[in-house]
Amino acid sequence: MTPLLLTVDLTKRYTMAGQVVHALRGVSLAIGAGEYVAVMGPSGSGKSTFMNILGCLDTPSDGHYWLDGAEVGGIAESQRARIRNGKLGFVFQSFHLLPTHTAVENVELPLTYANVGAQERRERAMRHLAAVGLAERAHHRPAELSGGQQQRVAIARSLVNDPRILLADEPTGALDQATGEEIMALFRSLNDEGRTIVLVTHDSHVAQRANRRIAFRDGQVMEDTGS
Amino acid sequence: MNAMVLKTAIRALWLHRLRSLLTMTGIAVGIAAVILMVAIGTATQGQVIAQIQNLGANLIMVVPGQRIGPGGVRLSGDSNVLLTEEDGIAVGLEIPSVRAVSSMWWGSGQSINGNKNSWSRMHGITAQYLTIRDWPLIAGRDLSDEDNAAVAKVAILGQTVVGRLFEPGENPVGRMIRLRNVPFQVIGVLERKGQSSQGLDQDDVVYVPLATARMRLNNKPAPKVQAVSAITGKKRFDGTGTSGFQKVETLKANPSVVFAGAVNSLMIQARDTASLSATTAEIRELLRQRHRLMPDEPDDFDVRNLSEVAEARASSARMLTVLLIGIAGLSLLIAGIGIMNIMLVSVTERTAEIGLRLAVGAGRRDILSQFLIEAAALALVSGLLGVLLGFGGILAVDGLTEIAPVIDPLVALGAFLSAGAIGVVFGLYPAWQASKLDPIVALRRV
Repeated sequence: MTPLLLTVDLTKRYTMAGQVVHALRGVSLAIGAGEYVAVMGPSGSGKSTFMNILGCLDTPSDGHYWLDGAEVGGIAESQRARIRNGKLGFVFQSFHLLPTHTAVENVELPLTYANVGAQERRERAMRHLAAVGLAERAHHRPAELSGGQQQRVAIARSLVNDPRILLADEPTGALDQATGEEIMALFRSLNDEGRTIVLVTHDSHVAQRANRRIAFRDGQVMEDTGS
Repeated sequence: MNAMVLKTAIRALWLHRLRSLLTMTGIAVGIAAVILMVAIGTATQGQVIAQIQNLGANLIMVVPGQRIGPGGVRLSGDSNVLLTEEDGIAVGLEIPSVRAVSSMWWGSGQSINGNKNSWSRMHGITAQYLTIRDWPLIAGRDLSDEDNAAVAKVAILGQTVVGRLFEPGENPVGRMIRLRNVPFQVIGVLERKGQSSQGLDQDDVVYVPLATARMRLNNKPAPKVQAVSAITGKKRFDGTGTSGFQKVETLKANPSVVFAGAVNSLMIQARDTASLSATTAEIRELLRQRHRLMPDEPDDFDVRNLSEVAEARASSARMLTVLLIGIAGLSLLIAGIGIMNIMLVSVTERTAEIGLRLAVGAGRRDILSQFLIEAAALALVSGLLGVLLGFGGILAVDGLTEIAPVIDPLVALGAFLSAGAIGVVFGLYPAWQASKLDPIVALRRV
């Protein structure tokens, strides 16, 4: 069975102030459908660059990246936007909710770019809000929600388009211990339902919740344990 | 989707109400200024055009020139016998681009009806004068060539004179009045013409046949020599039997009396506006020939192109309008820069939002159109305010000044749409900047 995510010899070079920086030096990884992967490593290890390429927010300098059976490493920005919209869900450390929009409107956002009709948009968004336990907070703005609630809205938003992969970047980084635990439990149950999750974290406690841990250092994979 | 984008735009503008309002004020004032200036300009031009039409179209007036007496003293044009009715007839006959000519004798005096009286201008005219002035009668008939030939004692009255000599509602036509103590029959009443552009009451006037004016209304002694009939050119002898000596004395005292054909002005109407200056030149040439002037001698008459003067005023009014609209347009340009400024600030503030939208699948075009719609919405609302403000300004000008500007819905629509266009044009660069953001960099901003 072909993996859901496959990278071969992925490299990324930046030129910064006249100096070439090697962010990724040949990363080859396969992640199957239904996996729960934690990506770790110190800052500058290349894990963020790797996640950006996985999220189709960035393109590799060299190497290949197949997502769901299609080569997406070198495709145009407009096509990448379509893939981000249809196959990927993002959860960020700082939630990134629009402050002028209500919870349900925030959840609807990816659907507006998928040209889904207003009524269906609202139905799907409400369903996903209910799934994260926030149905009764649907018409509140982010400022009226707690940090944990905001992150749950963000998770609902990442799932509303039914993505193949959920990409989370330090999802508990801005939350206290107990709320972080709640969010991790939510990820756990999502994975149990079969959702593929790739999660970046510094926190080894968080990483322990994943089934597989990949450690980056100097732009390369140092360790790949679990699975 | 469009409904959501519009909603987002309105919310973003509402979030920064004060900022939006200040930006909008700039555009609204600009739009209002354009609407007001166009309205005032149109009204002013309308006034000038009305003045031109009031005067009559394509008019050329010829008056006697100033005679230079001994020692270089310039004497009044009236003291000359340099323009005659025959000159007028010749102009009408020999210059094809002239439609009509009327010779005029200028005078004034008292008119009496019963116990009422008026002191008015009393002008002698030939038949086509009222046609040339484009001045209709509201009752009675116009003067004819026959009236002139018969030296008929008939008169046409202006409205001011009618008001002074008759009771309201009374019909003056057919009634006998006295002009300078000579009985005349009223044959016509003129429509009210109003003030001339120089402030003269044009209705305070009595018109009589030229020949009659000369014969009956002259306060100077009646012609003592052979008079030349204006129309027939036949010489008549008035039979007063004055001697040659007296003749010379009269000539010294009042030359215009002796030369019975002398007139104070020729009113000439050209066939069209385009040939007006050519016609003016032809008239001048003809009169120089008739007056036997040597090439080095100056004109002994003045040809005045009246329409040209009015046209010059109209064109200066147009120029002023263009200038005012230009200044108003400039204020719109500045308002547009204000929109650009505020949109650039907005894009910078909302970098994280743009990053998120890109991450969840917005295309570059979605971001571009979102900010364009926001700028256009801002501009259109301002445009609407501007239109209302402009209408308010028009009403104020209408109420407070003599200018009567008119609300032109087309101008309002045009101004409203140009406000939208300003929003799009000046919103384009900030929107383009937003759409070019790198999502990775944008997402790092919180």
